[in-house]
Amino acid sequence: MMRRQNMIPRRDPGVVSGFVVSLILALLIAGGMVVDVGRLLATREHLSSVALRAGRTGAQEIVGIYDGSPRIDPADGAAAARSVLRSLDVDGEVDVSGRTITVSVSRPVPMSLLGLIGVPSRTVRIVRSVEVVTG
Amino acid sequence: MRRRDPGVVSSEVAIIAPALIVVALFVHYGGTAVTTNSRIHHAAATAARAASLVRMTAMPAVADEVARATLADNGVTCSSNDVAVAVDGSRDPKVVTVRVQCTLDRTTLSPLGVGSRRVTAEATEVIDRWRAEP
Repeated sequence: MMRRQNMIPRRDPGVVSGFVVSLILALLIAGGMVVDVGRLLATREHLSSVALRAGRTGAQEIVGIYDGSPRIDPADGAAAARSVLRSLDVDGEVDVSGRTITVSVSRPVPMSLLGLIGVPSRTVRIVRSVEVVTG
Repeated sequence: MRRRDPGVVSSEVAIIAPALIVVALFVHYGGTAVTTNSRIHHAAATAARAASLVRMTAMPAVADEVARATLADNGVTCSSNDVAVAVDGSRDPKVVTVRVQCTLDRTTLSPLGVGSRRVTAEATEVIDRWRAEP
């Protein structure tokens, strides 16, 4: 009894753990990917909704309704959109052109798993345009 | 090596298998939680946008309907859900906020049925200043 218990680990101590360790590592990497990719996706969605909200807020500053050529006031529209970005703590740029306002936002996302292999963060960039239409 | 000791790897794997399955389930749980969360956020955002396009008195009904329909479209089954609508008129432009609360079925997140939980998502939309309906 004693002999058998001692025999198995002593004869073959490394091969088994190597196999199991690689299995566990693979699963941990899968888990890390889920975390990192999930974070990237969540940030994309968040930034997209922030950009749209900033764009819609900026697009409220319409001038020229009564002279028949409605358009977004470049200064006021951009300022309104920027103030939304500021209040939500997102970095971005605003561009107003005619009836369209374009908001580009970006944010770095720290990586947990990719951080271990030398990619500390990835930057998510989102561009959204809002156009004023007559309805 | 292999001929001398053919059964040990399999038995070791058999011993460790339950732990590996737990880790695999955890990975699945994490992925599902992220996906479900984002679907509920999407429902809140869609409902807020829909509410921002109708007159004030119709907002709660529209938000409720759109949120439930969006959740159903995306295959999220809530054992109970709650949609709250709030309008903030102090800001310019006015904004409407929709909060969707969803208590997930026990088996949604994990096939084992652990981790029943409630997810809350909130979305805010601008109410257009220039529009036909007040």
